[in-house]
Amino acid sequence: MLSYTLKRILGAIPTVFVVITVCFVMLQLTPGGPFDRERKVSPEVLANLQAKYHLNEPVYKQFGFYLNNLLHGDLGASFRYADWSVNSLVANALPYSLTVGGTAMLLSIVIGVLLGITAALKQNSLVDYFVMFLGNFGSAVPSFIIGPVMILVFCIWAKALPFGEFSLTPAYLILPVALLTLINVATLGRMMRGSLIEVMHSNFIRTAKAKGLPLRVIVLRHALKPALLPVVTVLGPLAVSSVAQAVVTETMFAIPGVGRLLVNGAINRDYTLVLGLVVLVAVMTVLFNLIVDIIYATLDPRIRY
Amino acid sequence: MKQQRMLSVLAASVALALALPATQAAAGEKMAANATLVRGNGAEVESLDISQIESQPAINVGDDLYEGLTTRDTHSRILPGVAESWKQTGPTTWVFHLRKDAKWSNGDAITAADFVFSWQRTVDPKTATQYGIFFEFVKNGKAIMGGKQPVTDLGIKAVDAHTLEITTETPTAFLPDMLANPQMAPLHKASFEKFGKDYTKPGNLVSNGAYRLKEWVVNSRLVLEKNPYYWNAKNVQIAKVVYNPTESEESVLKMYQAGQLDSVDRTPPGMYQKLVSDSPKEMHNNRILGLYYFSLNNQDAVMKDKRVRQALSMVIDRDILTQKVLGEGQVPMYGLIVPGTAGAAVSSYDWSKWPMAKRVAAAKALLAQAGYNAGHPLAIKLSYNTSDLHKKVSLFLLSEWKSKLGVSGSMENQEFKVFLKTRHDGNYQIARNGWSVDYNDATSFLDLVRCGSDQNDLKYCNKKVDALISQGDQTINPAKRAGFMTSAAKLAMEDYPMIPLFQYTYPRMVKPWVRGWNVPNPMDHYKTQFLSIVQH
Repeated sequence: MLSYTLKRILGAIPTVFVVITVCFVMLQLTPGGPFDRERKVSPEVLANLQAKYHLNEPVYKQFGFYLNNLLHGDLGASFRYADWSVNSLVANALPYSLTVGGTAMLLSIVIGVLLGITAALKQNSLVDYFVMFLGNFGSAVPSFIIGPVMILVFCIWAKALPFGEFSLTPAYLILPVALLTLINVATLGRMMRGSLIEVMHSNFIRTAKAKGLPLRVIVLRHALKPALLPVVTVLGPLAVSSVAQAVVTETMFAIPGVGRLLVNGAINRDYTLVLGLVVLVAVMTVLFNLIVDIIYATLDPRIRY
Repeated sequence: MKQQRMLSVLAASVALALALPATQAAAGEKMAANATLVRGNGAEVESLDISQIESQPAINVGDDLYEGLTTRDTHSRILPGVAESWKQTGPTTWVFHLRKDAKWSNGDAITAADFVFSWQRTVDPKTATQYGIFFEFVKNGKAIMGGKQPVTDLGIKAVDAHTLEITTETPTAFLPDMLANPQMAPLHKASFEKFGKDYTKPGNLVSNGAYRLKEWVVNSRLVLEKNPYYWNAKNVQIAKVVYNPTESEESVLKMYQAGQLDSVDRTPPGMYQKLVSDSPKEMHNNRILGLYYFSLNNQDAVMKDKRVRQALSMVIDRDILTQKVLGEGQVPMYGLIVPGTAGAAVSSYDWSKWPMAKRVAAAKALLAQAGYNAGHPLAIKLSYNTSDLHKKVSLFLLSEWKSKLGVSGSMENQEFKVFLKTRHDGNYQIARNGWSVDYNDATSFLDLVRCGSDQNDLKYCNKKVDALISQGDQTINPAKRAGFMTSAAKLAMEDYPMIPLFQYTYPRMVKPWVRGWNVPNPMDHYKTQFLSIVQH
């Protein structure tokens, strides 16, 4: 297992390198630079700025500078936020994103799996209809519609929850976590339901039933593990897509997290900030997929590393 | 002439008395004790370093943290700041006398040397300031930023600890106005040298404005507290200011409605009419010194024909555009200089008074002369950056041209930075544009039409216009100077290099307990020290 994990981590280095290179090239090719403003800067000022950020060097040298800094753990200076390094911007934003995203992820797994199991075991019951409705609702209605409605109802009409000047307190966390959970539960619940129904119809479950085992034992001991496999498979991509969701939710709920940095970084052509965040997301993706693969092995006895 | 040169010291005590927060409560009202003002501030500030402040959000915070030789109240009046008086001693020389009781937020005294240090550091090419426009007016500023002269050649000299002599490139009547901006403030040398790039962080920053920095969480909040060492602290009523950076105008409005903000930086486009009828007392619609216009590429194969440019401008009904399409109190514009701008008179096209039918007939005749008719209609392409406002205006323009002149047009929208590059490079035919002044003088607008100016996206050049601007620049007599500038603007607009549409307004919401949020405030600076909060 250890050698497998090490191999995977080493194997991820070229992947991350390719991602950085592609992103670097794409940023270079995007029209409009970090210093394009409504008021055009004078040639003197532009020359000074380009010298400060090494933009007057050939592109391969700029890339070399960047990689060298990266190897030393330095994501560089932000082009837009002159007072901050990308390291400190990311370090400040990460706790917010991880708290919101992580809490939502945990809640969605617990709620999604439980709802999925209940729906699968009680097909065509009220719970089942509810899960199906939730699944369709969460997939069909985008977060940028649900979010503002939540804000309108809970913050403005009912004045039950605060809005703006976000802080990591339960009152502020409720809405964004609820929104992200709702979206993820929609996916996970539907998937768990479908998967468990399929497993429950397989031969080995029929055998278990024929042996007279109680339903509780059949589900917990025999059906749950194989039924969880597809759910675990989507957890990796789902965790990464939470970053994409964060772009929307963080803007909506004014959360000072990574998603908002990414949006502003792209708008401002803040090359170093965008690259830094891409590195972060790439590393996270590799990490999540690794964790998923390890969980896989514990669930499916046929898989051994 | 000499008397005119000796432009007088501002007798500002009367104006200052008017601006005192203490006078802002109505009968029966009491000022709130320990008041906090929470301001919606648009985007996150890019920097609190005075050499890097550039955007409106950063200027708002900078206005509270820093004070220049002069300051500006919420009527846009220029008042004494760190300097208690000043005098223009020659066409390009000024002497400023600093007040003896001016102090930094750590209690150190402010001296003339602090200004010299600050300005020299900003123009140093190594500092790479993003916003050097003000320093281009100071003697040798442009050359120093271009690396051609040492920073010590900059036109600022400490005569003694409390006297500064400033030399400008050309006679610059608006110098006191420019000096009120945070970019022109002094810099606390000791803390800057100790902390370097981190000098702006909470705990490190030593500033000289009415407020000092307490907390700064990027994308979350920026908290300022009253600076007890500020020379005019006794007239500062609000104890704490919180700046909230939220880009989405919709989110900001929701925060305001939820009671989390005391002011909204800008209400979402298209909501003005509803908001003003729901809460008329909370709506403050400020007309700023800004012009919304469409650039015409004067070197484009089609647009280089003046008759085409004139015809396109003539048929746009600005009244319908401002009243029906936009409805945010914008003022229709038929010239380059907007009302309220110092240093030139507002001029309008004669045809702006004509009935629309006559304008359309004249425009049709011009197009016919240029060789366009029903069989050979004019086809144009219009570019704008993605935004509801610009889309609305672009659609309106195309429909006006189609219905009145039979012009067929296409629209292209681009992401903001892509669009800026397109426009700066002149790769367009007709493009959305807007300009608000950095300092209150007509030359800020005339920069748009000067040959080869950085801001001239129009690719327009008329040597006669440039000659008039240069003459004006060298003239000290304000009336004569304004005459040259007015003629220059008028002459340029007779060439129809652009299509002026309206003067910008900023509709904002401010809670009724906040006082001193005056409109009109043409320069649109709202320093918290001139605001107050009554008990509520």
